[in-house]
Order: sequence, then C-alpha cells, then structure tokens
Amino acid sequence: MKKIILILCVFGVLFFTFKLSQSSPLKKFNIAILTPTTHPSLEQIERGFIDLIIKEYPNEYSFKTFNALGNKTLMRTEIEEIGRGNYDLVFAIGAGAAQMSKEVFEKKQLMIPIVFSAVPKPLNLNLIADEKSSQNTLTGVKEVTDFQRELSILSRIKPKVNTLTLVYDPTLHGLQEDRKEIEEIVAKMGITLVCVEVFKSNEILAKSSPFIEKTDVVLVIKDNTVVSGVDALVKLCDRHHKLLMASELDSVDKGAALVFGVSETIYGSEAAKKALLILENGVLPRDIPITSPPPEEFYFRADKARLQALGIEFFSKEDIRD
Amino acid sequence: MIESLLHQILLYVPLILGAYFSLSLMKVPDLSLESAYLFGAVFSATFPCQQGVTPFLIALLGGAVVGLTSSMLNKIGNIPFLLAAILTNGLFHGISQILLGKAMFSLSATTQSEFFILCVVSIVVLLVGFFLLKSHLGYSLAIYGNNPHFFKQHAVSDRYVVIGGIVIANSLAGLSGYLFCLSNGFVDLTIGFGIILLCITALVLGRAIVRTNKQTILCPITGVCAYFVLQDFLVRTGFSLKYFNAFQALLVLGTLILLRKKQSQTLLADHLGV
Repeated sequence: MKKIILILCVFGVLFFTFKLSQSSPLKKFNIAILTPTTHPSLEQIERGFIDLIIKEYPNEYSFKTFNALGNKTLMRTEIEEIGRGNYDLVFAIGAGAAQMSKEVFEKKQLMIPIVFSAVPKPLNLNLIADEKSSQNTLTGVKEVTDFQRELSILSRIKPKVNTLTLVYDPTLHGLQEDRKEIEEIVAKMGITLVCVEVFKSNEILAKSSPFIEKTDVVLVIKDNTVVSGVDALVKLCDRHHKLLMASELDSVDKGAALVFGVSETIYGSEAAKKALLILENGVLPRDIPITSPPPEEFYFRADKARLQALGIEFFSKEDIRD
Repeated sequence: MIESLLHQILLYVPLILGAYFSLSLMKVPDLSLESAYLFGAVFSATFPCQQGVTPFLIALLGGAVVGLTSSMLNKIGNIPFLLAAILTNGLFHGISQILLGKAMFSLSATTQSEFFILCVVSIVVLLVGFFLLKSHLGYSLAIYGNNPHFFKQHAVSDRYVVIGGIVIANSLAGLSGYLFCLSNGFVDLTIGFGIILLCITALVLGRAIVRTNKQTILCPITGVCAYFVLQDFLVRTGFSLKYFNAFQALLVLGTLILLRKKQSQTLLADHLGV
C-alpha cells in the first residue's frame, strides 16, 4: 500500500512539474509541429517556420513540437494527442508525418488544417488530389531538386567527368525516383553512374571507399542519412582529391567543395506563409496550391576546391560571394 | 480519449501476444519480431489480391516465413538464436525493400470500419491465444522456456516446439504490422523501429502488474494497455519526447529492479526478465 501511495505521489509530482513547465500565456493560435526524428535539417525547417511566424506576429502564436524519434508508434500516439488537443493547425515535416496525420485526421473526421513541408512527390503518396488544389485539408511545400540544371552546371565547371558516384539511402521516400532521374540524365551526358546504397550514416565510409579511386565526382542528394554522415565523405574525398558535390547547404561548412541547394529554413518559412494564409486570412488549405521552394543556388568553398580537384577559374567574380 | 487509446492498443494486440509467446514463454531473444512486423505489412500490402480476409492471411503468412527462417537457422543450421534473428532481420529488410520497390507505399482505404476490423481481429487472436496456451503446444512452449534441455533429456526433439512457437509468434507480429499500416494508410521500411523495445517494456509492465507464474494472455494484454496509457500520459503532460527512449529504458530497469526484489529466484533463471 505504501508503495502504491509512493508511486502515485511520484507521478503526481511529475504531472504538476510538467504542467507548470508547460504553462504559458494564452495565445491567439496554437500550432502543433510534427517532426519524424531529430536531425539538423528538420530542426532548420522547424526554425524557419517558427521564426517567420514570430517575426510577422510576435506573441500571438504558441508552438508545440512533437518529435517521434524515428518511432512510428510514438508518432501515432502524438498525432492522436494533437487530434485531441486544441490545435489550430498542424505543421508536418516530411512525408511520413504528413501521411499519417492525414490518415488519422480523416478517419476521425477532424478538420484541422495540415501544412506539410519537405515532402517529395506528394501526388504519388495520394496526399493531395492535385498540386493546384489538394481537395482536402492539406497544403504545403514539396521538395524538388532540378537535377538537370545541377548536372549541366557540374559538367561546365568540371568538364572531364567520366564517373559519378551517387551515395544515397534507398529507404528514404523519393530517393529511388531521384536516382532514376539522375541515371537518365547522366546517361545522356555519357557519364557512368555508380550508386552506393547506404542505410545508416556509419556505413558511408565502408561502402563508398571501394569506389572512390575510380570516380571523378561524389554526389550527395537531399538525403538525411547521408547528410548526417557527410563528414566521412569529406575526409574520403579530401584524401583522394575527388570532388564532393552536396545538396544541403550545411555541407559547405562540413567541407564539401561544391553545394547545390536551398537553405532548409526556406522550406519552413514557405510553409509558414501558407499557415498564416490559413489562420490569419481564413483561406482554406484546398485553395492554397502546393509550391516548391525557390530555385537552388551553387555554393563552393575556395579552400576546399583545390583539395577536391575543382578548378575555380570557371567562376566569375559575380558568382563569388562570401 | 478512451476510444483512441483502445484503437492503438488493438493494433498491437497480435504483436504483443506473439512477443509473449517467444520472449516470455519460450524465453528466446526473438529480435526477428521486428522484421516479421515489417515483412508481414510489406508482403500483404504489395500482394495483388486485397479482397476480404486475404491481406490478413497474407500478413500472417509473411510473418510466418520470417519466423520459419530464424527458427530453422537456429534449429537446423545450429546458429545461436540471437545471431539467427539478427541475420533474419538483415535478410528480410532487404527482401522488404525489393518487394516495396520504394521507400513508402500508400494503401487503399478499407471499405469496412477500421475499428470493427480491429475488434474482430483482436477477439479472434485472443481466443486463439487463450486456447493455444491451454494446449499441448502452449505447455511445451512454457516448458522450453523454463528448461530448454527438458525435451532432449526425455529423448524428444525440441525442434518442432521451437519452430512452431517462433512461427506463431512471428506470424502474429506480421499481422500487427499490417494492421498498423492499414490504419496509417501507408507502409514504409521504418515501421519496425522500436518494436522490440515496445514489446519488452509492455511485457515487463504486464509482468509487474499481473503477478502470476501461470501462463496467461492477461499478462501481455495488461502490459500493452499499461504501455499505451503511460505513453499517452507522457505525451499529454508535455514530457520532452526527446528523452522518451531513455525514459522507456529507465522504466524497464526500474520495474525489473522492483521485480527482482520480489522474485529473485525466477529472474535469475530468466535472462530476458520478461
């Protein structure tokens, strides 16, 4: 009996501690942010979303982040809790979060608007009926990369590319399709594509090493698994003087000589604009078209260029910014 | 709130019953439950016929194939069970990937009420589980768990007991995987992550609540209910979910320590503690 009372007391204390830590002044709108796991890119998207809304409407919005820690069971519980809670909008980051939120809310006949971001090919997932009008409670920002442009610029910067090695995680949504697209483009350019499939960040070094000698460029696309372990590829490329071309801007800081992409925060801020349209202007999600972020830009690191066999004489002064 | 909790619990009834058979009764480190959960879902979702009970049977079959592989690697290939389960996990993750062809696969919506389907499946599974535990096979599973050498000492092959038990456990996991994907509207390759920890936590909780040495389906069912009530409580109270896995591990540890004081003899003989 004493133990039961003790356990109840502990839970009671925990409950009130959490409640107190949670208590915040009443806000005009409550937004739930659903993120599938902890990852720098996802955190940037979340930051971009929150920052834009706070900038536009300070002190009017409250945000609560639900992190599923890569666990779909936990994600389901969180979505159920969001459904029960007093949320005006859900910001779902990634395909899994968006898809599960949509299914659960539809089954429960909840009309909470869902704004998604960083979802490649949302039409293929049946998330939306059409990119112009979703025909449901969803809208958002899709993830696209202009591989044609990326690879044609690469061929101009580094004309003698015979072999391109793509390191990617095939289990991530949309990357198999990206691979096929890249395959078709490089085939037309007469470049041999070598694909290295990795499933975890710690596999990158071991799986990429055997191919590095025979490759000219190592390509990393928008891939959370590889981006997490891009340092391993940087070391490998530095050691063998091969060009590393990435698609996530933070990779420049980590040592990739060349990066083609947009800041992840843009995915968040673009989604925030749609959220504000829904909450402030009363526009229905179905009336807000699905958009993609602005076109990617090239970034390069002059100090890494020589190390990774990239000539910077192709860049004009206008191209070079700090 | 109760309905949504019940909904989630029903999704995991087959899985937890399967885990009870392999982890609790047979006391084998059956990590292949994770790949059975995934493969059952993938096999069923990609199967051409999606009419009637076919997808449910296919999910059971998918899980059974995984169980058959790991148990045969152990019993016929003489590979230690833990290693056999790890190898099976790797193998079926690859096969699931080939079958799926992409990272995510959307499922078509069911015409029947999902809650009704879950109730029917759970009742059937619980009835089967109840009668199985009262059968010779059920007792054999428990005997194997208490003393793996029992059958050999009586000049009886334990091969069929192990294979039968693991196949049943994994087929139930496969069914649960399919139910989960059906409920979420999609199947992806990461649905199995964290499943083993869920099973162990639920079984430890069940064992802490239902203090009995008898084999009963009450233990896993109470455990899975306690697990989801606790998870829901944490999500509701605003517990920082960044530390959810750590909390889960601490909970298992705390419960085991409490149990150890009460049942030190049993736990010493039980390497999994579930």
